Amino acid sequence: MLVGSVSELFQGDLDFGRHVVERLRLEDLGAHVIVEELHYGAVAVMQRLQDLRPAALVLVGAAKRGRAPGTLERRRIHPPLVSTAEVQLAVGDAVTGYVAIDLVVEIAAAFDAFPALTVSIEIEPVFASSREQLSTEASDLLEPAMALIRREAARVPVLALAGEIGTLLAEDRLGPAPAVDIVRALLSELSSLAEDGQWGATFALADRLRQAIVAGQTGDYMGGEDWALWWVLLEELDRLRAAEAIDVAR
Amino acid sequence: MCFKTLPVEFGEDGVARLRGGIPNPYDVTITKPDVGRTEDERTARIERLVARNGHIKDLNMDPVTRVAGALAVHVTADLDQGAYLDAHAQATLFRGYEVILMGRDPRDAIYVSSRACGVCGGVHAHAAAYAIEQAMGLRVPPLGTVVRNMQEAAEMGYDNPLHLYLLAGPDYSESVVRAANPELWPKAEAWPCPHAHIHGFKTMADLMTALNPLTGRLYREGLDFTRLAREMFVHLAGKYPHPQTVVPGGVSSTLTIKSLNEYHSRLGQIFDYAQRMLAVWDDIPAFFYEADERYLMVGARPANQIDPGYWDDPYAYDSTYANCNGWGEKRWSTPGVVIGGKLVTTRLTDINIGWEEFVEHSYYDESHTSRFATDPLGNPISPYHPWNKRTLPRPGARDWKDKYTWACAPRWDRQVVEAGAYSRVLMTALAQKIPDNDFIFSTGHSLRMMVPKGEVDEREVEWHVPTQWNAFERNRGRAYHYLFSQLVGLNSLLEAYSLFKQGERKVAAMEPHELEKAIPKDEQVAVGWWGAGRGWLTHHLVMDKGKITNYQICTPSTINASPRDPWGQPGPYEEAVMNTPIIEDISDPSRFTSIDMLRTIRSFDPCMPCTTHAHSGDGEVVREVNTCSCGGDD
Repeated sequence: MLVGSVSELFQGDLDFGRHVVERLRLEDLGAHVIVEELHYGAVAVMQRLQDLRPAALVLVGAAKRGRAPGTLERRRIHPPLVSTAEVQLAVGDAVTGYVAIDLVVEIAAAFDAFPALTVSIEIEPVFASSREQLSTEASDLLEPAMALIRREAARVPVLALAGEIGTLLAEDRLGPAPAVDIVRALLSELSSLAEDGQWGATFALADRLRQAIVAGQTGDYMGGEDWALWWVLLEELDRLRAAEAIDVAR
Repeated sequence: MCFKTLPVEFGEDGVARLRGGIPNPYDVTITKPDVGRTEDERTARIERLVARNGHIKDLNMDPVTRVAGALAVHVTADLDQGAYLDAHAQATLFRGYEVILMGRDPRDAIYVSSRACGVCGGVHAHAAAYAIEQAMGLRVPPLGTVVRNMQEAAEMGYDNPLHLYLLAGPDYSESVVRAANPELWPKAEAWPCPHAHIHGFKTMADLMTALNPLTGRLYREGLDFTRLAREMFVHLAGKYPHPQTVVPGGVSSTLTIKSLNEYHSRLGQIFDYAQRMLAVWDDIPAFFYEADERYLMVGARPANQIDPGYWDDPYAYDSTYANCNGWGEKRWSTPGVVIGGKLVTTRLTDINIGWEEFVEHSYYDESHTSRFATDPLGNPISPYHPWNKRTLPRPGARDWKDKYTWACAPRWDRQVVEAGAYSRVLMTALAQKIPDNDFIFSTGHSLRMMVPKGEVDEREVEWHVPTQWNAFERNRGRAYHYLFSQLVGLNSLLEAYSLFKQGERKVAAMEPHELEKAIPKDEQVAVGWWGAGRGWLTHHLVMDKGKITNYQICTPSTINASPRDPWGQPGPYEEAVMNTPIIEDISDPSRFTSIDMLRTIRSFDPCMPCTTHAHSGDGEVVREVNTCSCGGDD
């Protein structure tokens, strides 16, 4: 997973990403996480993404999108459908020195460097002009933004597992069984988690899956890899439930 | 005697002085350049034409980017006669790095200025280091200078293909030519490329198709070679484009034979590509000039150019201002000023003392001072010189007759000069001062280069000074600059191997922790003369008590995007657009693409964040996605 700041240095709140990343670099987000500055030309950033091929990308910064100033938002970003002419406009911007989250997204998508799971943690700037300091509102959002990124970092392994299990399930190899249906529902919830950051019924389904396994409702075709991935998924979910202190009953 | 406008003359000791008997010699109403057509005359002519016919239109174009207001060119066009009557380049992006640097430790300039731009980071870091080490009197070890040269050759290896194939190239692609110049397409299909045996494209149509954005072979190949150059830079400097290893007095990299070999292995792949690049950018102008000789005037300007030189002689460079003419003239790329096609000086002191920056038409308060009457050698400098000028931002309404841009108007000897990577090729070709080497030779009218053998045989190529500078020659010159820069990289690599063999390992004048104590506490002025992918780059520094008291960055795009000066002389973009004929078919104005103007502006390789690094109180960048970048208004 790559966490990258897309910032405009000393341009008030547009420099938000750098402030976040400079703090996060002092933390251990896990061996699977790289934290970098990505505030340079999006063509070079795209090449960096091609080099690293991260499973997940978190872009941190600020962008003016018409939200209430001071809004902190997690956005799931899917590869945009842009025409060749539009990509070339983005390339023109990047080549002439501009730095923006959207440039990274459009150019990475156009050149097949777009990570499967890409989100941005971004604020709506309150003060977007030449100044060393962030606005008070943006400063207050530093810790919440870092918390969101820590959460993303913690969740990425479970989402990667979900991807692997989904691939195995896609062949319909395991036949009909209650546990298989629960796993499918669980994967659907995890897909929603990637989208909106909400757990939904994930943990309730995890508990039901565990009960179904105990009851032997797994079907006749489970292989070693299936068992391994299912158990690891359950363990990862237990770990996250504890880490995020989620009360299923609530 | 290089100055014809400023009242500066030289004594027998070589020191410049102001001619006597002129009160207020730098007053803009007293010392004036020869101006062809005044602003009033230009305006009157347009008014006469407007009164006579209805073909005159005012058009606003965003010729470079879709970032709102980054660079707008406002033109008055005569669509009947196919001419641009007037042009104003407007930069409205605000950065403020000069102001932010005030009061800081000078070493911060390396970090801060590097991030002024998304593509020019390394060059700003180096320029800042040059300025600081001059103020500190540090002597860079030869290996440190060699590594810097290699890094900066790699940076050019990144920048030049990026421009030629990702920004300028699409203007000559099949998709654009068919849409904007359909009359050219049948000619392109029938035109056999003279250099087909080198680049592999039988006809110009084939070549144009390879320039298509995203899918074209040349476009994709250009992208690949930017990656290669970036890797070369990273092997020496750790990261790109904001290196952490550039320090006053050298570099802080740990250099090993492995890092040299990694650089070498990539550099070796470049020379075949460079041959193909030259062939492409030789054939494009040949085709266009043959198809319609009016293309000679697209982006045309007089041969007035400037460059402070680039890549130092590791044994001559001592960082001092006192010896700058000596080490400057030993640079791989010779410093120089060309006026009217003639090389008038190669001395860095002349370049420096003739330099002024005006703000009559820029969003700044008048800011000249008389803090320094001379440079450290006693040569007179203007109140408008960067050591005397302050950055006093004053946002305001756009008024073409008054203030209309965030770019200031840099001038040398009060004349309009342009800057580009190609200016390095020009100065070096004319000056005949290039150090002895096996690959690059200056003839006084051309630059001959020996391309080393790769998968194809070695070949000698020659760049000739063009008879008419225009958009095509800027691109051609940039292609030759690519080879030039990589040959400097090769020469420097060979020197690095030689120094390594001798046991040399020192790459910095002092360890980073020793710098703290070495920062001077008295007042110092200094300048980092360096270069960017787009040409000229200078950082002028004034420091006192160990802190920055004035910092002025001048970039190539500041020079080229400059507005009118106090005498009404248009800046290079403006002048080049006004000289550009509208060649595209404009019988249906609704289909007007302004391709001729776009080719003009893009040929300068504009870099707008660098241009507008000055401060505003409340500026803001808004990126409008998926909107048309240009539009006309009557």
